[in-house]
Amino acid sequence: MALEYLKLDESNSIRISAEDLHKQVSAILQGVGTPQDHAEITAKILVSASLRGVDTHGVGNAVRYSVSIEDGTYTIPQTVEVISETETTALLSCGNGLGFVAAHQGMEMSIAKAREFGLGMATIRDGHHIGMVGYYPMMATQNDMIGMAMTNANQAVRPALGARPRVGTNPIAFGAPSGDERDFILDMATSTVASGKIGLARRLGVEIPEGWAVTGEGEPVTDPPADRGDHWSQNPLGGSREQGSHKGYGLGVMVDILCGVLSGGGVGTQLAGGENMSWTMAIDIARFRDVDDFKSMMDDMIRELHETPPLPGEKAVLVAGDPEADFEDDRSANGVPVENGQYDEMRLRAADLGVEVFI
Amino acid sequence: MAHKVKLNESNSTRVSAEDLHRQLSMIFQAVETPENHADIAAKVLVSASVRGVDTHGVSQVIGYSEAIESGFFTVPQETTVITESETTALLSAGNGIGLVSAYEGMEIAIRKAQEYGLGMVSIRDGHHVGMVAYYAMMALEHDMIGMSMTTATPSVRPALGAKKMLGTNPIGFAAPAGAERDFVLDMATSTVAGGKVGLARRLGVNIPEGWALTTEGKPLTEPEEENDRWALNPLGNTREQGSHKGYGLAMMVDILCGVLSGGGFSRQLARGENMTCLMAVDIGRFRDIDDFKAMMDDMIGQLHSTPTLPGEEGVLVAGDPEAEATEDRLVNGVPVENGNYAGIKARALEVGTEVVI
Repeated sequence: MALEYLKLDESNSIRISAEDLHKQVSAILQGVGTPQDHAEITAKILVSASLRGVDTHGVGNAVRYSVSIEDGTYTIPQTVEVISETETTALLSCGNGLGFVAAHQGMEMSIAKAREFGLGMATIRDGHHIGMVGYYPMMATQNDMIGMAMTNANQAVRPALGARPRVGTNPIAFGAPSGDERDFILDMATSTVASGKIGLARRLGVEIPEGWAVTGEGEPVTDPPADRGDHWSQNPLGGSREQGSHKGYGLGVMVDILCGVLSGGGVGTQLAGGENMSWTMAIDIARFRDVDDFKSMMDDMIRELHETPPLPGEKAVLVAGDPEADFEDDRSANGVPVENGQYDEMRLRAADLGVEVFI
Repeated sequence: MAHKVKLNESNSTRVSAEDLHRQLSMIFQAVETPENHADIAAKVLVSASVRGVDTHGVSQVIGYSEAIESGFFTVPQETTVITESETTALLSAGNGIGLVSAYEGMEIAIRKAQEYGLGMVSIRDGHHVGMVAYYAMMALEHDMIGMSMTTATPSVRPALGAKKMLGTNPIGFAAPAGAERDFVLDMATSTVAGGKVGLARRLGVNIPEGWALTTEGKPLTEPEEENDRWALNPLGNTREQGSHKGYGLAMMVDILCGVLSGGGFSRQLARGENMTCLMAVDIGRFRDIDDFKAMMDDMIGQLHSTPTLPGEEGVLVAGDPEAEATEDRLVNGVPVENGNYAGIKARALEVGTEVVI
């Protein structure tokens, strides 16, 4: 598959240390008036995505966020408002600011509530992009908790049997801590692929496989259009009626319910591009059983899965979070490869804003 | 094709839901199930049949009552609370009827959500819970969101893997609407539920490519008996189309049901063992329930009005087909496949109780 070859390497990227990237992203955000604490949170999450190889949600996005702040699409400085709160629940308004900041606070509140009462849940309205959704469950796993996070987006995916985009790619993330093995970190769009993969293919001028998107007449799209609109849509996970497209679609709507309806912020058909409602949850494992016993059973499960004989032509069976952990091992040690274009763009943006260039 | 097999006048008999409930409860009681547990089990099974989920419906009473008689299910059963906190409970189903312990578990989750906003229950030492969405739906009448999941012995391969390692591990999720029908999702995390392959095998029809693979990675279209030479595909099927997602969801279910409860993940379960996780979310803690339902209605209305792919009649929302089956079957009776109808009657006589269907 063409996209398999789209890896960052020495010819198309430059390695930068995570520390320098953090400083640069934070400086750019502060350069457009973001308070330091909010800039630090956002930088931390963006750098984490880059470290974990999720480059579509990584440091390269700092530039466009800073533009959204400058042009007033994002309200900065933002106030994350607690609209309603009970022992285990919270409804937050992101105040139209950086989505990262509110989602981070939502997960912190979920964890604090779970520590006190066993479970915690936050739903967040009036928000924007929260980046790599898998980041937030990882905040829970560091506290010996199970974490979940979801976020919705404006319509890009068709419902099963439908021919127009009506649901966002609405990703689901779930994290659970292990002992000796790597933590289980699932981060998945409820469409067959995240829209970032299609955007990447378009930028690089390569075709996408059949099954990812269809036209308004139901014909496969392999040459993705440059614009969004009613004339094409992504497929829900499952792809076709016969292969379970109602399941990806159903999960997409579940995400809309927890993020958009429970918060009152709105669902895919109601959101403008760039608006995202979010949801976080934490579960205190120790309320159920001894955490070490839990982790050792996680280890057993993960080991058995790793030992599964692979299909012909495949190297090995992976567990969710493995590819990202491999990237993190490499990039923590050797630096994060930043695509040449994005590298130049970030330096230029920093210079434009009159902040220090660290990279 | 397997998913087009419908019950009709030639292959089934219509029986009222009330009579089916009585019959099932009597059979359970005849094998020493206490009346309250027999009624719960009958209610869950009849609900599946009424909703058109026939693979998880009334005919299961035959196998369950045999499992009770043989001692595989411990009846009368006691659901034990192993640990409990404000919002959480770890239960042992005491190796009894899974339907009963899951029902009791969801009642506890709802009670905790009433008091603290959220409730979650993980259940070990359990058996088959039937149609998993039943328990999520129990939350609806309390104006809550419900979730339910359950595991099973392996029949599904991991992404990139060639051997069955995970159960079909279904997820149920229900949220209340206002004027529209409630949203009720009930999905195996494999491409298809195991029951659909079993049905195709019984009827001697082929299954489509994409549902199952041999251990050599070749598509399996003539379904065989359960054995180690083939496995169901996780939702997504192939690396390119997202098989790691169905696989990841199946592991999530294993973690919440099997690891969190300590009852064991799919590979550690004996056949017929199932661990379960249930959750309730009190919507009123977040926002006004009527506003929530009105927004659900708007969303569902917009989804229904989506233009369809060529050849399709209308865009559905999760729970629509089951609600349509319910409307028909509550009025006209539940069609019970002739073989199952005869089987239930024979089973009633065998355990020495009256035949009322």
